[in-house]
Amino acid sequence: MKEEKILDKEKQDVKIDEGQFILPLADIIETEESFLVELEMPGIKKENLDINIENDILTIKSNVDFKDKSCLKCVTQEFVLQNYKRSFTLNHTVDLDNIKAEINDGILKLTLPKSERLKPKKIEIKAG
Amino acid sequence: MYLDLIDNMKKMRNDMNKVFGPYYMDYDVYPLLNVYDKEENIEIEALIPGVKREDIELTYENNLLTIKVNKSNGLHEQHKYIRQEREYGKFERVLKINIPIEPNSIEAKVDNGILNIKMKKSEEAKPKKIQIN
Repeated sequence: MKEEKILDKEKQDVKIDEGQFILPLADIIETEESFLVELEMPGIKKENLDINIENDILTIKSNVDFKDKSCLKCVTQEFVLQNYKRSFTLNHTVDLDNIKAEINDGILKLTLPKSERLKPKKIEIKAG
Repeated sequence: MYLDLIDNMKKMRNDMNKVFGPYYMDYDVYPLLNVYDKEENIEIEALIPGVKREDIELTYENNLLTIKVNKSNGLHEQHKYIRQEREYGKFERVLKINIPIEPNSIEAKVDNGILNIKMKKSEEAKPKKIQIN
């Protein structure tokens, strides 16, 4: 593994454009009962997050004041903390009333249950 | 096959970089770091969303700080991925701390997916005010 000199690297000047959002990386997993969406949102707590659904569009948005987190005294800067925003269009396969969300270790986990009519069903045959 | 996958991943990141903005500007290394050279301390922040405390290994030896991270996708291996943008695997960065520090002062904590490492500078490395007679 190569050593990296982090303390005399030239600082890259990154401007934070306020009002600009970062698109969080997402994994979407399908299980029998639901769709799981996992989004990377380091630095975000539960109270800084808005999730809403309007016209079948699910929008996730954070609202943190990152001003005091600016990297003025950085000698190496590889990332900028900024607010996140991402939207997903939902179709009839999702049960909108039972969506669950939790955030842990900088990962937002959304559970979108499949609507009842999509789940496998066994049909009983009546004796004639 | 494995290498192909990584190349594709890099290409994907390159493409994404155009969309995803400055957060992913240095996509060849993991984890991404911000380093602060403060008066008394050196502070390092690393982005490690989803990584548990027990999957991080920090060592300091001969001025080298090694950060090893094992990022696994948990229980999802048996499930079907419709989309995968997050990267998984074992990652390592070796950082040369070329300012004298107190090795016993190194502290680390994880907060909302950000690893914070703090170390005290040795007396000799701290800025000193020189009295003019």
